[in-house]
Amino acid sequence: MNSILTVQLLVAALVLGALYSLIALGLNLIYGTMRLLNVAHGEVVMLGGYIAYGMSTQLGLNTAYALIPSMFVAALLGFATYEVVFRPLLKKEQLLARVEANSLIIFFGVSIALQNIAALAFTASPKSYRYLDQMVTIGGASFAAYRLFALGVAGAACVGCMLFFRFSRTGLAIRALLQQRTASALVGIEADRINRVVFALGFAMAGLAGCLVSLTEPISPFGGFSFTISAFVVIILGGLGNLLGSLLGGLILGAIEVYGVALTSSNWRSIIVYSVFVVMLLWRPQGLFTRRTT
Amino acid sequence: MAAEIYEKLITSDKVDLLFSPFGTPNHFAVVPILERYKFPMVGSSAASVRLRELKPGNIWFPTSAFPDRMAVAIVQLLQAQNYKTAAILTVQLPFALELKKFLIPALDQAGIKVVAAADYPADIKDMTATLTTIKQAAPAAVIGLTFPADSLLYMQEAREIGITAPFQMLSVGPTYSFFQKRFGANANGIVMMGHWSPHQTAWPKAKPFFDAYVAKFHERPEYFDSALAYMSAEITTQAVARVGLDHDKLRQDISTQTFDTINGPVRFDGVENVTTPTMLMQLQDGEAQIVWPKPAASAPFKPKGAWAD
Amino acid sequence: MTEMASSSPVATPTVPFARVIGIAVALGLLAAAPVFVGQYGLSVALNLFMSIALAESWLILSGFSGYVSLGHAVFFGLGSYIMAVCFDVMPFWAAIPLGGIAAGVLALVLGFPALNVRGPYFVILTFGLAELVKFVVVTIESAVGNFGRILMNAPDITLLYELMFGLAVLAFALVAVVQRSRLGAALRAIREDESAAETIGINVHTAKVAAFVLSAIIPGMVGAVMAMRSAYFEPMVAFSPMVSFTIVTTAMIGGSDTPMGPLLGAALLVGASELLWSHAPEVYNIILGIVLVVFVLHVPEGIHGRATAWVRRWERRAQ
Repeated sequence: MNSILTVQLLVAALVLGALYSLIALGLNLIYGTMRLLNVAHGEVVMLGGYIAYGMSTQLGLNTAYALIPSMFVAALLGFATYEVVFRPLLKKEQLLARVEANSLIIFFGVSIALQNIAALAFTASPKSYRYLDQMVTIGGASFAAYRLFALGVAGAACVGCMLFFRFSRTGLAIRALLQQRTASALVGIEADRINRVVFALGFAMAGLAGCLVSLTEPISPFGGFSFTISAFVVIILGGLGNLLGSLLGGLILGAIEVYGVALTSSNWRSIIVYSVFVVMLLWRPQGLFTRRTT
Repeated sequence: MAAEIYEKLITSDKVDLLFSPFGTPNHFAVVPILERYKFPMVGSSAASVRLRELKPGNIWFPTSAFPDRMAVAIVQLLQAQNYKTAAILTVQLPFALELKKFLIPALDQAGIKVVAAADYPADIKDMTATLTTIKQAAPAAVIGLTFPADSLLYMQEAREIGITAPFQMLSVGPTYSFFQKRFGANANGIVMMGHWSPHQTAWPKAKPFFDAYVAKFHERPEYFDSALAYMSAEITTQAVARVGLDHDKLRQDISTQTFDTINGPVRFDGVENVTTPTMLMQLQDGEAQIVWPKPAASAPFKPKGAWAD
Repeated sequence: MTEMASSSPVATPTVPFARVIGIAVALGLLAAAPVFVGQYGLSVALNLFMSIALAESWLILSGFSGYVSLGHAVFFGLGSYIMAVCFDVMPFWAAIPLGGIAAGVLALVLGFPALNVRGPYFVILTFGLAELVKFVVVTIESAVGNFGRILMNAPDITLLYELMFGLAVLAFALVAVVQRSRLGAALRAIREDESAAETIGINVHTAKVAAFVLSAIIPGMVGAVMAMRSAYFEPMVAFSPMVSFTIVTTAMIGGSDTPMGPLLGAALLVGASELLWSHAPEVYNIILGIVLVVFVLHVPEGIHGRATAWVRRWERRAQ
């Protein structure tokens, strides 16, 4: 590598990072408010991808049209998952004591079910389609337009989310919950309504991210897992429950991946990602941006 | 799991015939079971030099895409085109690694210089840095030992970065219908592994199979594994038609006869198919053509042009 | 999720003679299983005892102390790797304990820093460590030019079954011993309230690391045996996260506080898998996922806990 200060690498890092931020935001929301480890998050991403694929191939509608429907369907799935599975979990005192471990198994079950339902419904063959394939030149480097589209949408969604949390009443309520988890879990109806919104919102963001992912990756029933993992790494970088941290963490992870490979070589890619993960957890588990709370 | 399923089918369900599982690891898992019960089965989607180490008698592999032969075929094609430099991309999965193991000495022997090489894990999400290095090394050939997901990634990013090598190969991926749908004209010129094409007129059964598949499934067959699976079934059914269901007779028949398949004549010596040569294919104008070796080709090799916009 | 009520850490009542004979007979019958069941049945039994051995071992740290390990596949994988590497250079009965020792050493090295991390962070840390080790092995193997390793002429399934059965019995015994030992008491105290445990003088770090090491040894040996079973080693498969998830699920469904728990969990999961895949192969994974969810929600104490509660209610009614 002659120079790592190229526009090509920068945009690559930004696009990857923005996608990671979006996926991690949804995961962090659910974790931060309810301490639920959503191992099925990647499957929701794939679901969004399938919707975008289906709309493109069956209805001839391009990805821009798929964004809202994906979010909607994913949000519905989020509602349903909360009502059927997690309300009972959060109500039972004894389950709450080990809520992370329990949520893990539950979401794992959901993940297995979703993967295999997708395999039955769509077959295991990878799916892909074309959209915004034209080349665009920025600062001497060329990019396919869909990459910039993905960056734009992911960026807008992340910013939109942060504004929602900053200025809307529900958003503020969610942030309050993020800071007083234990108390909120034992309070009644108010927490319930907000939990529902959180689930729907978290899933919706995953669905949206799925549409964007479908532009750069083939969609398959079992491809969601690596996104779930990356989202976890981002959350640790940014801090559990720290939404702005997820945003920045995503960009940081994208940069670490792209520049890490540029500085070493591609066969270190996964070792780098997981080393960052492990080091963060050992050294500063609350994340780069959160002050350590007692 | 595959071993147990097949064992159950044989011992518990007492089936008369078995069709093969998918993928080299599953074939490996099943072969000991076939040996134990002396149950003959024609394999399909398995390609590894280790298959030759298996005892012949109850398993046969119709593919000619054995990694060591493929490495030779690739190098021969490069030599025929007088390409002197190459870059190798390898995903860290067994089949790709096996190909790489044979490719490097073969290139070395032919005097083709490897100017860039990179391995990467299967869940890689971005190849910009790696491909930029390759572009700067300006090889005549980019040999991608890839799987579908990274084949896709390569195509997207190689186009952005502007890799213009006349020979660009992606081992697994271009044979899938999603690949051509995704890349359209940009997929033309990509070399891939495989040994079946509907355009090979010397095989009368090839085109009818293709047409029937498209009519039924509304998309093209995957040129490698789908063809192999069908061939495997053809061989099995032809043998049964000749000698019935007796396993000893089937074993004898499959080991010695020549079969007429969508891929032309197939005859086994030991576990290997010795009639079908190891070939390389290329996408041209949206169609999969065989481009090597010349006697078996359905179309001549075309250097990959510039990326369409 | 994990009830404290059932276990009695200190009192060891004398075990009735009849019970000992009963257990010995049962063990004898199971060991003689190859005589009764066909090849297929034997492979099911092998899977069953593998599940039991792994889940029991997992209990030692994660069940008793509450430090849930989501990365136990790393020990299994390492054991497999040792076997794959050593298969041609040493007899397999030497490679198996070597795998166990290697896993124990890995647990020591990883556990020392990792067990300082608490709560959910520990859970995902174990996962991250397992994946890190996996990719290191992948890189090593590809760097030396390997594309999977084959173990030619591996031992027969009967021998492998006996080995696995032995490991399962060993694991069960180990859990029972730890449960009644001071280490077990320390671990339970840690689960109750770690800071309090520290103040009363328990060296929590030593206890946790010791438990982690103990929980790693048998999975290492199990991995070594399974490498021979599949006669093929490939790091992406051997270190797969699915192994870790399955272990956790087995233990939690059965009950993670008692050595009886994994027996029930393994029996249920392997049994359900057998029933479902042969009759409804396409949907068996889906049903399995749903069964898991239902179980955690409605039978959180595990089968063992629920069964114990029923038995108590019966006994009370009988009085």
